[in-house]
Amino acid sequence: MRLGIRVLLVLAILGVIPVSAQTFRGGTKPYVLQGKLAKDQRGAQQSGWLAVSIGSLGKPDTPVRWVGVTAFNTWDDDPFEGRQVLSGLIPDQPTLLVDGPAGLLAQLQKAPVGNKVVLRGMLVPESRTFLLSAVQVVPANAKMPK
Amino acid sequence: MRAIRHAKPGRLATLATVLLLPAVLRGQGGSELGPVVWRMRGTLVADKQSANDIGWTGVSIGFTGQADNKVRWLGAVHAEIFGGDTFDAWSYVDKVAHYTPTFTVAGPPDLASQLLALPDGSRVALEGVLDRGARTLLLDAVKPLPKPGGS
Repeated sequence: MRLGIRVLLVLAILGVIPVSAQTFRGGTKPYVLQGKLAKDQRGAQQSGWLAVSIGSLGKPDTPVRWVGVTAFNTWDDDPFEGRQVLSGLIPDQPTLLVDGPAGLLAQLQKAPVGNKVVLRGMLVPESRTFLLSAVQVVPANAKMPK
Repeated sequence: MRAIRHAKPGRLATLATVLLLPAVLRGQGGSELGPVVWRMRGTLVADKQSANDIGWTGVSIGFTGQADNKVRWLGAVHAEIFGGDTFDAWSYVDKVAHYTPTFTVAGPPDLASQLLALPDGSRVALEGVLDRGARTLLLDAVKPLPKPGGS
């Protein structure tokens, strides 16, 4: 093998040369998700910009929750990056795997279909893990508290 | 009572209509289509397909006083009503996004001109009062936003 090719291979392995188009992941950072809980994927598609499924990390038997997402912003309120990151996760099912304090997980799991939810937490895009720090559930017809 | 007793039936019908109309409209959801303070963010692009690709949905923006075919396409990534309600905002956009133009900017002229002049690829935040029934937007602010990397 010629020296030039060897050098290129080493650089590619080290990541200096991108060998393929990489999906933008955005890195680990806090996000705020707003959405409406739905019965299934179809219901979620009819109640938000994007239908996402939320499973529980390490608990594959726990039923997924479907959410029609109406906003997904970074902690500093960037919806452009939020859309890019969330869209990149969509082929995977569940879209997000939540983890965190048992009380928050139970709150999300028990929230009735049709209710609005605001989920705050740290998203690790590479693993789709969303570490919850707050869960807010609001009845369907109630206004979101300011 | 005497006035009512002696009033012509036509006038009574008019009076009843005026008094009852607000209640009827509320019953039909008419009050849900009143003006709201509106905030929307997205990327200006050349056409509908690009807008749908770059945003959650593509919306078109027309301008009062401009030709009917003069629209800007926006790939919307966020919409909210005053107070941060994204649920009602999504619901509204979902109902009207198929119209072209989805919204018509009624002014003021300087902000309309600013929006018209922004190049494709610009990220922008639009704020103003939206008449949901007429889909008319009276702009209060047109804020160009930084692109990724702060450029």
